[in-house]
Amino acid sequence: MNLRQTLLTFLENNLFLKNGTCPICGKVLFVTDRFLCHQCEDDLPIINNPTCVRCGRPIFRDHRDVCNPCAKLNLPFAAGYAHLNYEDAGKKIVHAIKFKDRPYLGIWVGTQMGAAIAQCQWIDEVDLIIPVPLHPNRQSERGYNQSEKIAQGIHEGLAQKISPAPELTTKILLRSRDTPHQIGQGREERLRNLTGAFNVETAAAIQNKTILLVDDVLTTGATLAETSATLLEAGAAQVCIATLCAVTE
Amino acid sequence: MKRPLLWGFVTLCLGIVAVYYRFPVWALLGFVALLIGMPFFLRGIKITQTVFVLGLFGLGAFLGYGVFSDTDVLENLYQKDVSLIGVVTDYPIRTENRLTINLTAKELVATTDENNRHEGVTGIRATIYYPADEDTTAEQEVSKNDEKQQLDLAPGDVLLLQGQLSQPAGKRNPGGFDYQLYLKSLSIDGLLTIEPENIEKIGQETTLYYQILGIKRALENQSDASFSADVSDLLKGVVFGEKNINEDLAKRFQDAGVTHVLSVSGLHVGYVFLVLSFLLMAIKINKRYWVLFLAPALLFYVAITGFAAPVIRASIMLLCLTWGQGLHRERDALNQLCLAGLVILGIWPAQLFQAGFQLSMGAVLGIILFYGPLLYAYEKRRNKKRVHHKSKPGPMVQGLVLTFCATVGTLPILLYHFNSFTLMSFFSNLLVVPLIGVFLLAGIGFLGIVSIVPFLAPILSVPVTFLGESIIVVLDGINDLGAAANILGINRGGLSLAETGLFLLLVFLISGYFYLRQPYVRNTVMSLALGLLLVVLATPLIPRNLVVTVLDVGQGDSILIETPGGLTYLVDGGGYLFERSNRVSDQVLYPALHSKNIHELDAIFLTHNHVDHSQGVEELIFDGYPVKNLFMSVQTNNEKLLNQQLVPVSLLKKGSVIEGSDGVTITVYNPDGRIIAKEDEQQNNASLVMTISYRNINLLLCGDIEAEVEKQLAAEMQVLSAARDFQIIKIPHHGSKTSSTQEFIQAIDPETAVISVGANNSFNHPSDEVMDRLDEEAITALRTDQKGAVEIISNGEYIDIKNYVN
Repeated sequence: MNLRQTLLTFLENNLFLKNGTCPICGKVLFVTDRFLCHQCEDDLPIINNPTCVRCGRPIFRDHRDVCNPCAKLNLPFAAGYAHLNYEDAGKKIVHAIKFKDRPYLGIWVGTQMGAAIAQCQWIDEVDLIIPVPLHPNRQSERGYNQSEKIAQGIHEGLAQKISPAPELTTKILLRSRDTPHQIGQGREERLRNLTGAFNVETAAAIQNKTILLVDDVLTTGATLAETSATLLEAGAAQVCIATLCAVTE
Repeated sequence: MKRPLLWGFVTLCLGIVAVYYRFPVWALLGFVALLIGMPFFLRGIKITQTVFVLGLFGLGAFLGYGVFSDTDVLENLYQKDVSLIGVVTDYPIRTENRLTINLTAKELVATTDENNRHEGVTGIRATIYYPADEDTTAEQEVSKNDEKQQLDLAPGDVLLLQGQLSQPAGKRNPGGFDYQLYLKSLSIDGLLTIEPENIEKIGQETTLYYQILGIKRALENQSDASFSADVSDLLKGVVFGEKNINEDLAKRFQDAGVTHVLSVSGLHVGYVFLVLSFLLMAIKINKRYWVLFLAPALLFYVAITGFAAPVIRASIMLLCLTWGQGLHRERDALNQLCLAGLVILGIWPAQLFQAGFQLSMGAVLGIILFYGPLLYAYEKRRNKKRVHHKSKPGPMVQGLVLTFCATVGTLPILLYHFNSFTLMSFFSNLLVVPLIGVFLLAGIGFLGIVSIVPFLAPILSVPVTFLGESIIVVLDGINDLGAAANILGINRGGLSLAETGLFLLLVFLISGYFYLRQPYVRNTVMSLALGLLLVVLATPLIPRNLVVTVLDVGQGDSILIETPGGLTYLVDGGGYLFERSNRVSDQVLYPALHSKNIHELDAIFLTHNHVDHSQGVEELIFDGYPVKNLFMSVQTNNEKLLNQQLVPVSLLKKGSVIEGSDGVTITVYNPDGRIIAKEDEQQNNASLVMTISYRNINLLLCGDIEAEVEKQLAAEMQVLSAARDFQIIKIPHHGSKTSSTQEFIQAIDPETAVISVGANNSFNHPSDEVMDRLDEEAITALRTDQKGAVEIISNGEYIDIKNYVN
């Protein structure tokens, strides 16, 4: 196993590069250690409008502090952070992390998210970081869990700013049912698909804890709501969320 | 260090190049020192990486020495009869009256001298010439028997051969083809000419590779049996990369700028990969294990195509890709390309100089570097004003951008090697590439099914024939269009360093590689671009030298003159005494003109009307090559050129002067008298004798004059020589003993004599007498049969002489 790991690391550094090309524009990156080219990093659609206090989604009319979906459906999040707008460049990054075998890009973006989350007030309350799990089937098909990679990055980013950083764990929350892809489905369908898809393995570990739930994209909030509900039922005190991309309301 | 493979590949290439061009030792050591010093100056470079890169540089130099060593191991055996036992490595190629066999020999022995031998593995290309016309029936019988025997030759056959060994010709003319270097890249060191009766099959060797070739041959025969010649050739070319196909068909592809689909390239491997992955998907193999199935399959395909460099390249890249996908790691195309390059150069270092290898690497590099960014830039521009319903580039745009990127990567290489490029290729690629893809898949399917169920061949061949025929029709259509719009073709020599730099800078700029928002980047790029532009624009204005190139046209004369003011003259055009299938203009004149970036001749001089001088001139003029003036002797009898309406003709005689504004003066000294058409036998003495004078430099071109005219001119030349020194003479009549009299040579008293003569010509030119005379007068003789083209460069004060061989 160790030899295998060494070999893999060697290959990653020398044949399959972690950051060979810019995932957004496709330029070959020659010397930089970063994962995006200069221009694309400048143009990254980082969310800077007022955001929903519950889920971190950008809001356009600033006299509200909760976004439409959160207000209507009373989503169970205590606080939230979203990094990018889910449009051109954001979409491309998520696509690269999810479908183009770029786990390290997830970690790298996560680190930047971690640095930003460290500025949020609510981060002090967070005890645990939990990524939204993938079903084992899906994970073996994809090779890794993208949310886990982002969460790993967030953990690293936080560890640089605050200590002790909240702990990252992937063992507590599991996905027990293999749900179909959610692309092209409405919120109702998504919710129906997801009901009962998750379960908590060791409920004792999360009793009265504040949990930071990490996912790649916040679209309707169905996945995150279902996951949060599962966690809250199992005894968590509150759930905050962090997503790489969020769709504007 | 990021991408040690890239740096390793670059240094390997540098190592080979350094050896090929014989860089001085201090330059090599300096470079090594630079590499060793790198970790101290740059952060993030590990010692192991430096060692790796350094090792590859050393390997490059080592491999280079292996191929381009100082001493030719076969040197003692050239021009001698040798016997050898060799193993046939590929199916012999048969054209009209000759058979070409590639073999590897373990030992070569001179027939006459047992001790003169070379041991070690040597690649030999043997050619058997069959007599063109058999006089007697007995001979016919014999040769027929021989033919039968030859046709049965297959890879793995062990042959006992006896014939004359010769050295392959290197690059002999500007823009010429380096046959020796080409053969070296195929691991062939020597040429062998054999008589049909001196070949004997004595055994058989069987290896897996030869068996694979056998399968290929069986499939090819199937294809020959099922299709018309054209479609069969197309199928063989497309599926197996068979080189032994109809020249006419190959030419049509070349004209349309899509040769790459005929020589098996990455494109084909891509399609084969598509079929294989479809199969693997169908039988539900986990992607993790794909590489285990793909590797042998692709290796088989590589073997079937005869280990062509582009196929190996594409296979390695695709294997890396699937391996990466299996491990869920992002591929890095640039790294894969470098790995492929390392492997190919590791096996055949001489490939580095081959157009095929360079084009394959260049095209892929262009695509890797520019395809993504350009497509992204297009998409961004297109969607600038749209908020919803953003459009994605369609297949049309993708195809165009892809072709553009591949063109960017190949353009400098195409111009360097072939001096021509057609813009039609954009259009033809879009049409032909998908068609070829379908045809390839259909062809593979056909061959696969038919080899199992042969009786289906007549039915299944119908759709494949239809596809093949339609591709040929499309191609012809494209070529007709191209001929109608011939401005799309570009003929010019290789790009200069500054031009290449500017070209690359522009492409990198439009693909957005420069971070222009930062002022210092913007300023650097701008000033660099301006600087390069200035250099490119100013180069033609810099005063040039007078360049007189005595081209190597075999037995014959052709001299190209470029004056400092940019005027270009051609004196004679060479020609073949015995009719040949290829024309002297295509062989020598056009490549030389293109490579020197000459688009128009200010004048052609035809000294006298003999075929070894006039054939090339006639070809140029009747091809419609832009020529402003045609100058001939007053005693010429060339009716064809006198009566043509394409180029204005002037007849020159003694006293005629052609003077350019740049001070180069051409003065005619022979013939004298009225206009009269002299018979062929008297044409030699009707030759124009001309001096070319530029400041203090004087050259004498003598045509084919003989002793008689020399005698007339001697006194005059004596006076002229006293007034202004002659440095160089083009020896009259290829060094025939009836010319170059001692009196004449002494009168002119040159330092150097150039003899334009063909190797092993039937006239025994140049004669020993003439060579002795030149030796006596201490005149350096430069023979084009030994030196290739001789280039005389002068600024009016000093002369520098370059020759193309060595």
